[in-house]
Amino acid sequence: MTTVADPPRPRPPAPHPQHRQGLLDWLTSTDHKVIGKGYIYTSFVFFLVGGIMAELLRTQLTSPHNTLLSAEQYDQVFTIHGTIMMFLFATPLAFGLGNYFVPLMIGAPDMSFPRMNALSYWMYLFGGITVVSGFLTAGGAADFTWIAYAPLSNAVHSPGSGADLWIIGIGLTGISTVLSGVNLITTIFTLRAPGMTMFRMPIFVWNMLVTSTLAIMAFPVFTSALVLLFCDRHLGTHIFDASHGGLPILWQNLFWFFGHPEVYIIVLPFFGVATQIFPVFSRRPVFGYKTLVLATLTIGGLSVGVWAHHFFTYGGVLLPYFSAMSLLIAVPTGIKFFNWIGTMWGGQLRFDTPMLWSIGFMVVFLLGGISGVILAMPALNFDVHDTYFVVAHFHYVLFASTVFVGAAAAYYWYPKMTGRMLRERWGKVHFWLTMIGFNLTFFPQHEIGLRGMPRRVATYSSSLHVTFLNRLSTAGAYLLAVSLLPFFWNLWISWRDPIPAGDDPWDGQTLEWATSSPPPPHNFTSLPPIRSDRPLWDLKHPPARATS
Amino acid sequence: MPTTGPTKTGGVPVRSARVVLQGLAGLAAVTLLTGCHVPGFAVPHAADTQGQQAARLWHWTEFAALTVGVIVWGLIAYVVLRYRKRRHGPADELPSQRAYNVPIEVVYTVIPVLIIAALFTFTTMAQRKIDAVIKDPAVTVNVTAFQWGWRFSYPVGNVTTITDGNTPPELVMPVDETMRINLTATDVVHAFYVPAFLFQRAAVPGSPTTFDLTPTELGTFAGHCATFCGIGHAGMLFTVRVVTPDQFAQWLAAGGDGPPSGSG
Repeated sequence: MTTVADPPRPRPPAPHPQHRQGLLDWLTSTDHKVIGKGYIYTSFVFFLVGGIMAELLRTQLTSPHNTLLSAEQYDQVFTIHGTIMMFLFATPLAFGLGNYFVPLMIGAPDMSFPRMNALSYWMYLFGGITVVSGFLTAGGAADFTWIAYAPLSNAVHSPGSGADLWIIGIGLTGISTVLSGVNLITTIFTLRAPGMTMFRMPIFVWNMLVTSTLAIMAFPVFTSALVLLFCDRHLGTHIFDASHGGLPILWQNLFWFFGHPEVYIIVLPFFGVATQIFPVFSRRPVFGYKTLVLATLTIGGLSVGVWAHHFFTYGGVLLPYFSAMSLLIAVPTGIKFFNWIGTMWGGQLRFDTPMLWSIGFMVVFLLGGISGVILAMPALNFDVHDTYFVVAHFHYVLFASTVFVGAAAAYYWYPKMTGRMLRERWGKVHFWLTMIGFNLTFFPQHEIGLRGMPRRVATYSSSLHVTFLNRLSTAGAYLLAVSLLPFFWNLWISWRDPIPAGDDPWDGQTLEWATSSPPPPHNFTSLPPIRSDRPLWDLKHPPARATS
Repeated sequence: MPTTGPTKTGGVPVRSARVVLQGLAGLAAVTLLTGCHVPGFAVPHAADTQGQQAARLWHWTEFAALTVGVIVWGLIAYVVLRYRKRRHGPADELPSQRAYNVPIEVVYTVIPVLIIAALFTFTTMAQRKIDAVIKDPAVTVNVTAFQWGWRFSYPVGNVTTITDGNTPPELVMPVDETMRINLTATDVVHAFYVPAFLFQRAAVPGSPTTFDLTPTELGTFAGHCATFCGIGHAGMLFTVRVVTPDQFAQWLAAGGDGPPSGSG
């Protein structure tokens, strides 16, 4: 099931010092693997918290005029649901994977700035706790949506301290992301092993490089906007206040100048993970390596020029420019799809869990890409902007990337991180429950939006004829909750009754499989020669034999 | 080890690629030929001239989207079925290790660019017609959005309808005549959204905006605020009532009281 051939061992299995296990050691560690795991586990906890909130939202919408949650509670819950999923789950999960695997993939012993790395994690953790602690204040948590549109987010319309905790907490996580980005860029440029040229880096590393570059361009703008908002709330400025000559639309511009690159900051790392998985489970090289790199750079470049497509309906937006730029992003994204298909084309496909989740990601993400093209067309955007059609669209994009590929990454790399396998059978149950639950939840929301139901409403009228569709969607959301049970069970039995993974359980191609599982603190005792983008494959299949 | 394996299997992808591409081209041709008769399966019917532009665009975009979806999903299904690892295949034989095919890569870059160019052209043409404002509209109405309600005031006739308690106010429009709408907001960002017109426009404090609507059907239609604006957002509703020009004139003359003559 898990072993394919009998690959020659890349190095003698040298004994190495074990990680120290004490809590204090964990808290004070600057090892990129410990910090990476901290990011991954913390983001998963936030995912569960955000998921429980999603279940509350869906339960509220089961019937028109439901009173499970008051409008105040509903608004807080969906605001914090969106905030958690964007800032405290998706982004840190991506950077956690980058933290753990970028040094391993380029043959480095650690990140460039290990202590800054630890600082970055702790700012994220405490920033996240600060945001969520808003629920403990008298006025409740922030309730002005995760995009915090001014002037709704000013002191007049959102006076509570939950709003201030949101601003401060998100500001902290933003600085944390910038620090992580600086750290990853420096690591990738300066710590590559001898022979690891830029064009021999795994695609995941390329994607983390572009993501980090976007992060250090986009997040400072957002953090600055948060400071301006804080000044409006507490220092008597009127930057976003139209009644004193301020400009509400300035917030929208600053926010989305960050907010749209943020989508790619989240998506690109997971594209990278999928690009690692397809070749391994097809026994093929990545198809069109350089085209993929170029596509990633193009997506990165275009993503900073499309922000106003989030407010096409404002009038006064230069619609043809932002429409054209947004539509163009479909081209490099399409190239990635065809390159993934080309990677599988002619291969020997094994449908182990990482591959299954990655193919599932392609199937559902495609629909998110198509609805994205529709939303990039102003004439159609006027019809469905701020309706459930948009909710369906971005869940097809973001859930497909973060949850489907996140799960693929979990099944693929858990053996490397822990030295134990996860059970394939339960992984497949997890996959199919998620696949059915996800589509049942979000596919009907396209039609709910087309029938005119706005998003972010605590209740709706039965005259919209969306009650049945909303019930389907809620049933799907419950199935998604159930789909996590086999995953928890899988983690539990791998803990109680471990199946040893060995160094290279999947017949891997890249350097993280050329060391022990889990890797020693210094990562590598020796490295195989690096002469292509898959040094471990070359070692197992000497190039003279592998060329066709 | 013998080195014949890869070269032997290397020919298969090329041949099967041709078969698949021919099949997909055939499928696309059939869908294209029958495209004119495909009903817009999820497109709401538009009750105004501007919305009909969007409806037509919806129709063709959904058709293009479906074609692209069928082709790409079809390719995924094909590779998954065709290239799954055979249980009885020779275990040591390597699949083709070819990592580049420049002509194919150029083709699947150029075709999406052409699709995007076509969609861009059509959306820009439609959007210009939707956003166009005429010189002499038959009626003008000033719409003000506030937390949490609407005020519709007609300068001619000096009539105003406004949210009163839980009753959504009425925006009364004469059928087949172009109505000018000047939209603004007093406190936070709202959005004027009428699903039946396939149209919305944001109401931003300090940035008034103007657009035209030309309803083509009599009847009442629901209107919402689309942009989240606080606790009362879900209840920020209005009703659009499209009446005949005669009824509209009587309604204005009566100062907006009660329904227009007849029961509407």
